[in-house]
Amino acid sequence: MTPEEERVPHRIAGFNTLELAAGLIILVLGVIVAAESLTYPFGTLRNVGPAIFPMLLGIILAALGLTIIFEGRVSLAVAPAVPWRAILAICASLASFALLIDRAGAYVAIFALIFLAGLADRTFRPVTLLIVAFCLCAFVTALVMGFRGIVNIDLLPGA
Amino acid sequence: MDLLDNMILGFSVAISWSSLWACFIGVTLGTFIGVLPGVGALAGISLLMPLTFGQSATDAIVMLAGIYYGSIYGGSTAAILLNLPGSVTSAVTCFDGYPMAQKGQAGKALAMTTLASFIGGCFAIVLMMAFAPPLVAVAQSFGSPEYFAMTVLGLLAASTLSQGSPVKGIAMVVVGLILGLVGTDIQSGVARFTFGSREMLDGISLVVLAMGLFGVSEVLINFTSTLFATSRQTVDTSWKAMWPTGAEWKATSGSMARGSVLGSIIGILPGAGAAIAAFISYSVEKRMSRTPERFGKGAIEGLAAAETANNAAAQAAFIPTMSLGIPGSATMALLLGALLIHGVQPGPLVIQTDPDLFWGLIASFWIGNLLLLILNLPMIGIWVRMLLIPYHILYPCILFFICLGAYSARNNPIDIYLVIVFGLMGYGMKLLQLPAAPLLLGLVLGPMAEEHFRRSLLLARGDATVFLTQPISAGLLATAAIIVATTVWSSLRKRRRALSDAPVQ
Repeated sequence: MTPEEERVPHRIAGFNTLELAAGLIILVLGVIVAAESLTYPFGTLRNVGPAIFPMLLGIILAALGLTIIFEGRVSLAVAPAVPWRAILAICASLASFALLIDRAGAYVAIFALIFLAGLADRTFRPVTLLIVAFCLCAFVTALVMGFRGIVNIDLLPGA
Repeated sequence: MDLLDNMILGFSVAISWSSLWACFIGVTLGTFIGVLPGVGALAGISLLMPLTFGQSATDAIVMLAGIYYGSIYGGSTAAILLNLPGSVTSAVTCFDGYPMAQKGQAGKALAMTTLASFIGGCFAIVLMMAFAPPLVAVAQSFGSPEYFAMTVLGLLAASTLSQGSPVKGIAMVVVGLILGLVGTDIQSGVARFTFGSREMLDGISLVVLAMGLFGVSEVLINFTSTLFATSRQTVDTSWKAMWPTGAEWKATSGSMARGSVLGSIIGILPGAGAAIAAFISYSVEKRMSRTPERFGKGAIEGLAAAETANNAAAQAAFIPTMSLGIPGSATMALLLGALLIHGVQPGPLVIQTDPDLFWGLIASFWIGNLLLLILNLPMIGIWVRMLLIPYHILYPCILFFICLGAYSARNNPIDIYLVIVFGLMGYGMKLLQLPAAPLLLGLVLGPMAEEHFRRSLLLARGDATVFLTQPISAGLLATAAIIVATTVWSSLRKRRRALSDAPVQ
């Protein structure tokens, strides 16, 4: 056995925890969808209302969720290591762009995006990131100049 | 001759400057994406889709298709030089390509894959030219019940044939179908699953979902893999070292012929796709070979078989997508989604309503494959150098292009926040081993499936047995039922076997 396989999957009452989580999420999603669809008009069988199709899907989904839970009893799935630092940095990086693009323009948004993204890597490389950010700023400038009217992005705040 | 007229029409479209340009940009970007490890065709197409919004529908689909088959050409480069498949479809290329590179035959392996790709691609295009029109003729006699049944079968086949648990695949298709329902119901005007949000009335944007699911989550996943370590290899790119010798042509011609046929057949089937085509074709070659022990140690036949098959499959996948409007894979679903965005309703009617688009696309395949041959043979050295771009420079750029694409579609920052949400969802799905591709298929086909479902019942005056009394729809649904039954049966059997093994552990 390789070291990878030797990791024992975590179990709750005989169910593989990962598969249990996946199945439960699917099950709950199905129930929510079916319940929500009850609030829409049903119509008749001849003139099917907006409720029928989602309700069917919700019920099927809930059933599939149960199947996944039971299928997962024998699963050997093991939770992989989660790169929390990268996830946080990348979400922050994307969110900063969204936050800044309308308020501060593309240049500021790009610098925020690139430097926050750089935090995801274990070694922080300020010079590389600076060069990347400058290149992307040049790219956006060319894009906005070249496609006037098609690409409408403010380069500077309040422009 | 009909076909000749059609091809003349097609080439007159494909040779126009705008289409040539779209095709060139498409295959070049595609090769680039394919070469870069850690950026797959799906992520690439979702990233680049906003680029096509300003173009005509024909140019847009020509370009996106070019990105797709271009990425499959390019994927083999990283596979051969780094033993890292640039895209999933070239995983099999690693088996013999990397050993060849280690023996100093990297140039030859690269040239062989390009030639094999070209041959496989061409075979599948001929097949498409021959088979699309009759397939369309059959599909045009279909009514709503048949369409509904065909969609169900297509979705089930696509989700159960892929890797991993088929039950999870089906569940993800259903999730996709539900996501496709979000927004205003066209027939009744009722807002569904918007939970009071005005932003959701238009439904979930395909571009935003795809960028999150395949772009952001792929970047996150790559942080756990070994992508940060790149190795360097020198490649002899002189013509003499690269061009296959007579003996090599002789050794590979049979494998390439079989790879083309197998790849095309597998490519037409929903769900199987280019990666599986390459794998099956490789194992067939290995079994047929008189020297199977050479496979995996740099057998040029294995390389040729895998590469012809994956490119034939990639090209053949367009047959059901373009003639029936039923995509067999997530990439094809994205292309269909792009057509929808451009106001073209995909399906058998496309060949009549937009013949220039249909035949123009096929003609562009010829041009694209030829361009790829030129791009990949004399210019292979440039692509090899691309491999040296370290991932720590690449991923901030990928994130930037995701933001740019998501934002520029509507100039609304909320789309970027949605990308983050879908990105986290995609990563969570990866952790729970829930496949993302079926979800996208469901999202694209959801509205169509519901419409045909409701229309069938309306036309049958509320008789729900209509799906079973029409012979074609009954046959299609019966096939779907068989797929579900075998899936359940094999999963139960697997469980019993695993349970009986349990005490031994």
